[in-house]
Amino acid sequence: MLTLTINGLSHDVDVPEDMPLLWVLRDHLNLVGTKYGCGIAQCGVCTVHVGGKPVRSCQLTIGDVGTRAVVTIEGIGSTPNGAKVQQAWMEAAVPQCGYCQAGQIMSATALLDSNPQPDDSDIDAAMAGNICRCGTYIRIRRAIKNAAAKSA
Amino acid sequence: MADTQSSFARSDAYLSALIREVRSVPTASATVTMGRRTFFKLAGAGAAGLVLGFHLGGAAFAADGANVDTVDSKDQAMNAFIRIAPDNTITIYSKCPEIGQGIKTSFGVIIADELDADWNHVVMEQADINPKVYGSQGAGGSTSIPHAWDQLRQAGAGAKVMLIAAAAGQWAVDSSQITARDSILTHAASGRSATYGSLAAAAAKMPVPDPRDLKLKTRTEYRLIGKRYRGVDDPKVVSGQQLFGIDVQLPGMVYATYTKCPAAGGKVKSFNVDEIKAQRGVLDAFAVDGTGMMVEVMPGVAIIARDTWSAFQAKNKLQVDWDLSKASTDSTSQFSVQASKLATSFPQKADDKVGDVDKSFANAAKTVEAYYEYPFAAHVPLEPMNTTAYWHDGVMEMWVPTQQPDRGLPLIGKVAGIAPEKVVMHQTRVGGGFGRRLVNDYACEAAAIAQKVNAPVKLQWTREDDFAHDFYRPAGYHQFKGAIDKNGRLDAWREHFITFTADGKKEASGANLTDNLRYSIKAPNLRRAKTMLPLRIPTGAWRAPGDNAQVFAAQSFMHELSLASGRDHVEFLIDAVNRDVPELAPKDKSVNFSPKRATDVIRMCAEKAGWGKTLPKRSGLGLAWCYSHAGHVAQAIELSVDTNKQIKIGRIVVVLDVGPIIDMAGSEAQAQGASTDALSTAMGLKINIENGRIQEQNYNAYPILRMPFAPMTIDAYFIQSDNPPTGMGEPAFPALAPALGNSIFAATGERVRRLPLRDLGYALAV
Amino acid sequence: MTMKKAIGIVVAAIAVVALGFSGCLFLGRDPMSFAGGSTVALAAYQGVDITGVPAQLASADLVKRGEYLTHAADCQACHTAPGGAPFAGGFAFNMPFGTIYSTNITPDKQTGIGNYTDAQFLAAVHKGIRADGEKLYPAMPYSSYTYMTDADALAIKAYLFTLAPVHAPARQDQLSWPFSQRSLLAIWNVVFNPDERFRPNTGQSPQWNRGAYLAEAMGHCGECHTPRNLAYAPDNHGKFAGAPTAGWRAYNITGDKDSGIGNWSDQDLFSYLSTGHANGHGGAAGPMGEAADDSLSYLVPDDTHALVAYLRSIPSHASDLPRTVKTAAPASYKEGVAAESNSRGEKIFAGACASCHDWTGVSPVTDYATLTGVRAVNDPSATNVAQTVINGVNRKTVEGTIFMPAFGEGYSDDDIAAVANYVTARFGAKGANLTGKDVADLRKQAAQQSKETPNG
Repeated sequence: MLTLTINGLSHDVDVPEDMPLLWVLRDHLNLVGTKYGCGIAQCGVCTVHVGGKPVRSCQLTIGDVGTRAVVTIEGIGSTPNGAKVQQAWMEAAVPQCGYCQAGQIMSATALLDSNPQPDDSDIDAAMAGNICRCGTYIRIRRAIKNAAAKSA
Repeated sequence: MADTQSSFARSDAYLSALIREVRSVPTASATVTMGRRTFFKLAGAGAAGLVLGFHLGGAAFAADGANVDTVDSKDQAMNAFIRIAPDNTITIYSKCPEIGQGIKTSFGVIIADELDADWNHVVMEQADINPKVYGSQGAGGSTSIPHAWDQLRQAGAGAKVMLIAAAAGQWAVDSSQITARDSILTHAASGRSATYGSLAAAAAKMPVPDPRDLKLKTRTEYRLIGKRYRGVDDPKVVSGQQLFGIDVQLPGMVYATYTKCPAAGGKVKSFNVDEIKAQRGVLDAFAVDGTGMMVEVMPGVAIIARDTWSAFQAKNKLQVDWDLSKASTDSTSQFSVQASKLATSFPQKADDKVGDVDKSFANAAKTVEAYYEYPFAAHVPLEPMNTTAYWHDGVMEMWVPTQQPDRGLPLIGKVAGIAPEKVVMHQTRVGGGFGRRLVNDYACEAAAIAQKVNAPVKLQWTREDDFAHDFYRPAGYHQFKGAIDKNGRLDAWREHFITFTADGKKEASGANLTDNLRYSIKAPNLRRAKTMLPLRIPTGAWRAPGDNAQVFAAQSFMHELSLASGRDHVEFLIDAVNRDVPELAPKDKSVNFSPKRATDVIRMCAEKAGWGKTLPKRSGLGLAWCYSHAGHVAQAIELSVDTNKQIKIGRIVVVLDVGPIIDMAGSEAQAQGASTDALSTAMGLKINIENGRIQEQNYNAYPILRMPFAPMTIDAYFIQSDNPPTGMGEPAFPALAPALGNSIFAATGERVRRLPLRDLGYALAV
Repeated sequence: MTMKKAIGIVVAAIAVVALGFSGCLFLGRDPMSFAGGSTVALAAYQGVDITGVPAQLASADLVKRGEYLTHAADCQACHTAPGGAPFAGGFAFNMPFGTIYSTNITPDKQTGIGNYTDAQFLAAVHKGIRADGEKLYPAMPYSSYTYMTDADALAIKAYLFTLAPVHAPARQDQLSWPFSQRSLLAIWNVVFNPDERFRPNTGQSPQWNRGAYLAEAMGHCGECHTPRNLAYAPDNHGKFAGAPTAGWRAYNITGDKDSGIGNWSDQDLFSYLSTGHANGHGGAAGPMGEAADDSLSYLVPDDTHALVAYLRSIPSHASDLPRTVKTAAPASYKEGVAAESNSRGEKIFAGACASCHDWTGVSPVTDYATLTGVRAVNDPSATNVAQTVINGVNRKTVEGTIFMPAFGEGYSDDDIAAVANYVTARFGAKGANLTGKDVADLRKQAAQQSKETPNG
């Protein structure tokens, strides 16, 4: 039995230690906002925050989470930057199919957490790992800038 | 299993027919088909107020409605478009799948506009699947809007008529004096007003109007259509709420993987069943014979586990002994060699023939020849294929992220050995379609597996499964020869298209020269013929099927011809588009190509892109156009290319005429997204097949464009007209690649005749 | 002076030089001479048994012992094509003078070694002579295996003969003349194959001798880690000082503190040898990954300790590698060595790599993905970084699968060069200057011919 702190709540899970966090969230904790896309850390749809950093949950085994706090898309709206980013995403009508957007929002929020006023190059560096098959990059970039411009 | 060879062909024939059907855009005005439709009021809607639906087939609607309701009692209003609650909340049901094209928002806007509803109090819900009630419930071929345009407007207008009738009765006034706006009816003379919600119960008792009598709004009367909207599901998307097929979780659910032969057509001889069953978390493992149809269930091994990870882990340990005797041995490297050898032997039998190309070539001022090719491509939407199926009480209840839910019903019924009415399908949001989910193979597999599992089961493909078992965009090879007459006009167009066949008789699905191109490329002397290579790998519809690559070849070659003519490319194109030449017969009813609309988008695109301006060295401005999925589109790219073949995109302009725009924000998103997708595909995407096996297994080998290389802006412009609206999902894709190639030529003098560009050493600059 | 006499002098001079040169080559032949002291024939050695299987397996049957020794000699890595049946051959050795393929050593009578007698097997292992009398190319490390005892070689044969026979005809070698002439190998063998069994060193401990036997007679470490001379034989003047191999670099495993393993603790070495990974030093990939997974990870701890002891005795030999950088890069991509130098590499790293490797080089996901302190990342040739990017890592270990995607198909030579240069600059001691052409060459050197996709 392992204990995880997710979105501020403590969860006990009875799963093997080598199970990636992604599948613990989705199949065992019913937190399905974090998505499966590629399983090899190439698409970014599974991004969550672990210890405040964006991490691909398809690669991080639950045994390696340790005591680090996990925040998922379901909880990111409770953080100031997460709320701003979500709002900016809706205002810019970013999503098309929407499947990648949870991961995009997690990466964008982590960017603002470490860099409140990112420029284009910063956005490239932070967002390059998140594929959008629909091609919403223009609006993602705009939404991040808009979120940064919102007062906290 | 039936003979595999003919199964390949039958499977392909099914898909070809489906693509044709999906792509057919209604040409006639709405009244032609309206006689067959009747409104109905839904019994059993209870206190919810007015509920309006449609029925497409006679008087049996009530029974149908009741029947479906008993099958799935959770959603009383599943077969209706509109529900108005006493608190004035209006729930509108979107009948078609939301795959990212924004249809759930647009459908709501169309209905709400005719209904004069207050958009701020409209709630959009996904309708469940019942083609008898809703008619077509697919999303493909950019046809959701054109197919549903009249139906949805009539739903809104009809409901409004009934609300007005109810108010007129209560207020004892003439209904013509009542105006509707923002979900409120007003009688100006008496100063009375009432909300839709307060009138809904009374309205439900009013006679249902004949749709033919409804007066629909003209374009100037739209209040909601044409404005900018946020996606109706966006609040759920951005907060990670359960929405997609993959998100379905049911009590007691188990998880499945399904492993098919990496070479299409292979059968299971045996597998390490004992070892697999002994894996951690595995509940069961068994072979499935399947129907032998690619579009249904091919043979494979199902592993059932207590969670997805356990199923995936066991799958990694799976060792299947495949019977490869009937399996594909296709090789893309061999196809390329074969095609280039065949290209210059022009077949005797022509498919299209106008005038006399040989005579034209003999008398031409100039002739140009060129050979173009492009590769296979996979769809790989970000949500891997999945379906949740629950076999209970003789009913196959399913949650399927699909583009063609209605067409899945009979296939699933066949696989499960039950009547299609016993298949209950719930629509989920779809994490990307691009044509992949026109095929319901994964849903059929889930049904086959669910019948052997005593619980709800979610079938989850791995990303590797998705790469290996797609219905690919076929490669294609075009040998062109064109002639320019002494006036610098296009005089002849000869095209030898080397493509693929599954049955040896006609082109494989998605591998035919598209009618869009056949009718929009005009020349006084024209000859087209094809040679078909046998293919076992399944192909299908990939965003703007056929057009997505054929337009690259045709419009790049058109640029070569314009250069040979010595005339301005834009003028050359407009001249060619407007040539009065004998029409090819028979003319496809679904092609509504308009030389004028084409001319207008080309002109506007040139103007917006600054055509003719002086550019620095190694910079270029290129343009191309297409007629695709009923849209007339022109695209222009300004770029520079350095000596290392690194391309710096300056600006992309896209101009579309798709009739009136429903949701301006959504349409811009589609224009930008399709252009970005097209850039991504032209630059880098390619599927290699060797010995029948797909070589690319995941995104590491299939470089979808990423943020640092994506264009900073794409300027989209729309020419709006009174033409019926047509779809936005696809038209902005095809002309981008030739615009890119043409602009690279303008910058460097090097012609791009092969995709993807990375194979030619090009890359997008950072 | 007559012309004849002059020619005679020149010829004599050339002969002297040639003799001296080949003498020098010859003197580099013995892999254990560095230890000095005196050696004795195995039979005369007083002490514990230093050949054969470890004590735990002493009473195991012949096949079981053979299996252990087959792992220790790492037959499988070279005798298995990627995706092919184990031991069925077909693995490509790309060399400057052409490509040769390993052969089928399953007991198939037609295409494998099913008809080999014990004597024929020993001739192949010790002398590089096939059953039909033809000479094997020294890609088969018989000049190392020659130190193996007859008993151990025959135990391996016994194990191989329990495998399911696989019908897999040998692939045609593609060698340019004169390398295509196998008969010329007779000369090579005279010079470079000592054709003698292992002789324990009485001045060294039994543990050292066990380590020497495992490293030289079985594991043939020097075949990759020792530089080769002009005749393509290991030159033990620079024993274990590192060398290029199959498009990769086998690193310096002498005690040099900067370029070798002088700064590795015994525990680091033990961990690396037994699992293919040591925290702070990274993991094995490419050929060393195969050696770890197919061979070294099967050794019992005592044997691994013996290997460590032996490695520790190798004379330090500085090579051209800088000391590895142990400090993580800054958290922001904007700071650090490579901040301005290479933006294409940075953008590619951002998209394909940063998710697991982080901008610091210290992975937030798994120690296996940490780049900081890894030898390959601190190799300014970036050879192994580029190869790892091209080929990925897919190692099945007892601790699970160690995986990195292969980017060779999806990314161009220029892009791979850019990202390899970026990675070595940002996380290593010195940035590489690979070009796209360099990467194309690296691809060729490590290319395997057949590619199979797994299930799915």
